[in-house]
Amino acid sequence: MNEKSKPMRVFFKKTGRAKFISHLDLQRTMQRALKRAGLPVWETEGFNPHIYITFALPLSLGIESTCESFDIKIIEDIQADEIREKLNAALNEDLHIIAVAEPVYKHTEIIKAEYEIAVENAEKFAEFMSQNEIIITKKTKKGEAQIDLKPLIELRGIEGEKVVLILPAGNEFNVNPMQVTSAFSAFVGEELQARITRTAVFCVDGEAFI
Amino acid sequence: MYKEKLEIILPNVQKPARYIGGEINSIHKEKSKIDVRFAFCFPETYDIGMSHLGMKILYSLKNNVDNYWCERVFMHLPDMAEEMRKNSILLYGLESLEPIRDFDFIGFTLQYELTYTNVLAMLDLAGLPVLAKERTDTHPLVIGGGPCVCNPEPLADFFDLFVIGEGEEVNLELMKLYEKCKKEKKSKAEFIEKAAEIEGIYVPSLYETTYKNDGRIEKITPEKKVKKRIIKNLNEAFTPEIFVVPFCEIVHDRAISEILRGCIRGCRFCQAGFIYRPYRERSEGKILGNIKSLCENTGYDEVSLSSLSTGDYKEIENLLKILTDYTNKNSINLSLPSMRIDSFNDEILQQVKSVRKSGLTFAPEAGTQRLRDIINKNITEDDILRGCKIAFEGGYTSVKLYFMLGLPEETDEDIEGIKILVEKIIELFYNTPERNKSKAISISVTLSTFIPKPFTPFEFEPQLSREEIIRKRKYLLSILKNKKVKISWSDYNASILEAALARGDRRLGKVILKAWQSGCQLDGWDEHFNFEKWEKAFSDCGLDMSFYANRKREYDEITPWSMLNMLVSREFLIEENKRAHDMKTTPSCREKCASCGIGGACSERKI
Ligand code: SF4
Repeated sequence: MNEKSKPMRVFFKKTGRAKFISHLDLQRTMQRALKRAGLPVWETEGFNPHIYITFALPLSLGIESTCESFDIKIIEDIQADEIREKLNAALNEDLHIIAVAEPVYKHTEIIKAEYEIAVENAEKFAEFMSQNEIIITKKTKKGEAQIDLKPLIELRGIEGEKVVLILPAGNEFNVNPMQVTSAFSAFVGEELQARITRTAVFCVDGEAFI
Repeated sequence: MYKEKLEIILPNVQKPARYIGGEINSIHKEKSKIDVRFAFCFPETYDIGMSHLGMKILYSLKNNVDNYWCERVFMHLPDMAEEMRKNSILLYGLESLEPIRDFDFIGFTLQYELTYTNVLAMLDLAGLPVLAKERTDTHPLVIGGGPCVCNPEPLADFFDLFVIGEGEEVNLELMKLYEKCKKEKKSKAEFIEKAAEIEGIYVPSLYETTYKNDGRIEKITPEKKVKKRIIKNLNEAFTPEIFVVPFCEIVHDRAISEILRGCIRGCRFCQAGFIYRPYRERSEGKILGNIKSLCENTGYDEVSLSSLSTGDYKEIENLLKILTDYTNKNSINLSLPSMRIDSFNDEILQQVKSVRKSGLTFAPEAGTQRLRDIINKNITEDDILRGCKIAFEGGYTSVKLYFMLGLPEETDEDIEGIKILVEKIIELFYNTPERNKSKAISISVTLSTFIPKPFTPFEFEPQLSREEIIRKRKYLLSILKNKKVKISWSDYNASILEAALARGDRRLGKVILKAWQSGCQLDGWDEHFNFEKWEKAFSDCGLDMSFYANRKREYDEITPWSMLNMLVSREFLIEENKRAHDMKTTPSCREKCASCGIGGACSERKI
């Protein structure tokens, strides 16, 4: 690797139509955007070189986010603002770069994420949370396991049609908000339409992931 | 606009990104400023359609006009179609997410006969009557183009008009005329009548076909022929400098640059070789410029050259040098499909290898020189072995070979010829000291069934019967038993249907309609293809698939496509057919003009 290469973290929104881009496809989309933007980014060496890029926390298909990020390595001096502007010119409003900065935390330090869930019958969410337990079946590497969601959901508030909550996130243990909405659907007894947005990612000490 | 409805259903379907549009470089316009809206429909899935250069050309071309808006539409797989029906979503354009029923034009590109039922499925999903005569002035015009429309007759019932030949100029002429007629509040019938005056526009409803008792065509009226359109100078032809970059993976996710059009070879089975004549090249400078802008505008790291035969480009070595100078510097892979084995030399191999080492593909098509002469595939066994040797010396260890079964005048000796050729290639590998010794050679042999196509010298030929094809294939399998050789083949059912549709007449419209009504669609996909339903559709209509596929035509028979003038003359096709049966080859256009009928439009002719 280049001696001078410097890691940079790019924060972006994934909204609107872009929420249907899968994780793998997003990676390719961003690599191509970096190429179009003509940014001095480090490419892996070897037979099939490609732009080095690594994402902080995968986002499930169908979920929007205002706080995604990926890391790249810059091999020439370039201002963060210039990276942001050039990348935005190479993307569209559904994939919008919010900020570019040197990374502070490691990906492995991520522990929680906040989600805003616009869902029908949101007023029943408090009732849903007042159950003794919320048992769901979670697919794990070893097969299926029964887990209780209740202690894992940190309810931050219910405002009108919107539920805000915090869930475990990261490589070690992750709860997909879709599991919460489907448990909620089951509780209400009908197929509910939910629109989920990830709004923040947190590290061990409760600090925002930056 | 279906955005909200789509957001609800898309999580329930496979690969939703292909149904939502909004990709980088897709064109979004303000509706109020648009005079003509065009839905460019590719009757195959997004993954296949988005790989297609023709669509990219016409998409950019139309959108370059400020007050025209062209959107993309692809075939939906059953899971998506079902969700759409359940939620009353009509087929929509990927840009505006609005139903194409409200557009001015619905244009289909017809690349393959087994997509015909998809056309009906798409019209139906769009909420339109599939039959042209049932559509009124309130419905969009349904038009078709692409290679299959060199025999548009099986589709005549479903289309208002067809564009014959190259579309770059005529599409805009048509849209301009439409814009004018729309402003003058002309009816659809009035527009169509005027459109028929544009060169290259064929309006099926203005023609009538009558049949003899034996099922052959008696007469097609009027006698007026529709002449295909061509772009004279490829350097002046519109070239897209920007491609829509898909979010999800597609079949060929890369930049494509057209280096030449037409073919100088004249392989007698090959439709593309005749319908795309004359041969024209694009200049090296233009190609390089195009590749640069495409890569810069898309971020692609792979580019492929589009042509029928890359090695025929006059300055191919120089071109590759110029291109690899650029691609190597920018870590872009350059791929060269459509290389003929006889144009394969050391230098070209070096160029190809310096970027990516993939398997090698050659198409000898026939096993013996005699049969290769009959089909005018002017390559010799020496060419093939020389090409393989260069490849083996360059480290290649796998070779793909394509052959056809059921070619005119084919005998069992030609089948044995395949075996002998394959064994010679294996022997050559082990006799090449510079070969890659760490690996064994692997050869894959793909057998397809010969399908006679309109506007080729073999348009008169019968397709071989199922029994004979199977017998020949079994014979080859029994004599070519070698662990290093893998043999695969295409399904006869799909081949006979393709053959019937390719040379079919207007009566097949009913068959296609019946087949689709009984559930046929995505016929090009093994898992969706239902041959029994097609057989039943034919018999329900009182027609016989083998009448179309397996019957020999006399030289004086009136063909269903005889109202079209594809520039290549019938006399030439007959002459070439005779030469085939006399085992005479015809040299390439570059060696000697064969007077195919193109005449003044051909620049090769003067050489
Ligand atoms: S006019 Fe002559 S050189 Fe031109 S395509 Fe026809 S046969 Fe070939």
